[in-house]
Amino acid sequence: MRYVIYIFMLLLMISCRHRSQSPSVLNKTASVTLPGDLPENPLMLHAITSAIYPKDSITTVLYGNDIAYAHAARKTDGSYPAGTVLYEVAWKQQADEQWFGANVPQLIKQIERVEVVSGDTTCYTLFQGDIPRKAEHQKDDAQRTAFILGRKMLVSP
Amino acid sequence: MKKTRLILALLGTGIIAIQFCGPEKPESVPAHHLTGLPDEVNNIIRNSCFDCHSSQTTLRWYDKLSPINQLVYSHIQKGRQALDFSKWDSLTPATRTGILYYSLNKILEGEMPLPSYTTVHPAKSLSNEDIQTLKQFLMTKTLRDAAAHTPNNKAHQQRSGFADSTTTIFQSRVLPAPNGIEYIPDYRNWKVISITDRFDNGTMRIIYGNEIAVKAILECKTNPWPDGSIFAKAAWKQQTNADGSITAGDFVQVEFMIKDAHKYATTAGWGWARWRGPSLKPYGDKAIFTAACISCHTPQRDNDYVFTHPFTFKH
Ligand code: HEC
Ligand code: HEC
Repeated sequence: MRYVIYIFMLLLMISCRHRSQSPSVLNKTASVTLPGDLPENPLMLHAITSAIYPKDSITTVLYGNDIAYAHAARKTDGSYPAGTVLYEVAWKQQADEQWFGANVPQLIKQIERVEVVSGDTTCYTLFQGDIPRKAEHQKDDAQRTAFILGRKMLVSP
Repeated sequence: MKKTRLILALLGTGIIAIQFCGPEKPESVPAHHLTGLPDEVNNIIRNSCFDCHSSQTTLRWYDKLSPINQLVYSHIQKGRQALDFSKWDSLTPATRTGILYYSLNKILEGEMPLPSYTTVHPAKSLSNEDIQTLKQFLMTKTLRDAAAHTPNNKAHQQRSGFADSTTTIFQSRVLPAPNGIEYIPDYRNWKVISITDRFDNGTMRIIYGNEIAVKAILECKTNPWPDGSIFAKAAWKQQTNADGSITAGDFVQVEFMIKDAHKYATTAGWGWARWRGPSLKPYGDKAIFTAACISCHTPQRDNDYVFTHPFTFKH
């Protein structure tokens, strides 16, 4: 009989155990955890638009600072004002473990930064690596800059 | 000793007696094959799901014994209510694909077929091969390509303008969701906590977190999420371009989860709401629409009903 009471009390304790904080499930590998050469964390800025490149399993988000975001919301001709900073962040995708039918970001493949210094002057920087480091400038800097500046804001009501 | 025998005898008579006044057996009408699905897929669903999710129910003799039948029949009744494959022919292709992806995910989570049922009917559980067959079939059924071939949908003209005056006007007239939750217009200014490429239904999604949610992420206190945390998930149609890249087409919907453990205690601690289309029409007829949200989010209950594994923002 005593055992029954013990077991009963044990069960009671287990069932009444307060549900405390469980460990967070954060997607660390897909985040900027170490700044490297980046002047700021692009993921903290405003999302302007997004794209997917299925052939390479890449997904991107174009982020902008306040100036860029305010401008993109109003105008779509790519004529960003001085002070604009844009980041095109590209992730390698992975299958979503929580949902068969979705891909989610796995890790950052590269980050491109475009700064509008003045009317016509822009500055393009490419960051690569686990710890984002400035990478060799590519031949197609100008083309990439034009592409990034030309991306339109996602439309939502 | 005599006492035990008496109790057993009484119990036996009781069990026999209730066989005559048990619940009514659910009707069984033959359900035909699901149109558009290959035989191997049809057979899996017929074998493992039809008992509770179609008009055709094959009961074993032991299923019909009282009091077990109380449970069995209620499963069948609730199962048919939640999902009835007999109605397959009346569904649109997109809805069918949605149901199949949803079903596969319920299977992968171990929620379906009901474990209580497969313990008694082991032959009804799915083998790894069955699951592989379903996965392979579904990969050919993604709506990504369907979206690609929609001849010039409105996206192109729509994409060239954001928040023009017409859209801002009707923001102030957005009706609340049937459960009383008001629309939250400024989610686009929140931080992006993740993005998903939903090739199952041909949408791309951005998941935003409000300030409280982002603070919780920074402090690694996301399970449970603190009261006041809000997620917004916005979805756009995938638009495949000539070079194979995918950009956002028409706006599909925005959904919210608002955390308040007390206020929303009856709906898993979250307030659920969805607004569809460019006119932001509140989704759902009655407040009970949230049952479907919770039902699909339930496999994540150990993660406070949240699917998304957010980015960290430490710097
Ligand atoms: C023994 C009966 C039973 C069997 C067998 C069964 N289900 Fe279910 N299913 C249910 C019940 C009952 C519900 C409603 C559960 C609830 O709301 O908690 C349900 C709910 C669901 C839902 C959620 C529907 C919604 O809108 O909420 C899906 C999807 C589903 N089942 C898929 C399947 C698939 C796929 C199979 C076969 C692999 C299967 N079920 C086999 C009883 C069953
Ligand atoms: C058929 C399954 C399903 C149903 C039904 C569903 N969701 Fe979700 N929901 C998901 C999945 C999967 C995700 C993860 C993100 C993604 O892949 O799109 C998600 C994510 C979310 C998120 C972002 C936070 C998170 O949990 O990751 C919100 C907000 C959300 N859903 C709201 C709703 C609301 C409101 C409803 C009901 C009106 C609803 N959902 C119904 C499957 C579902």
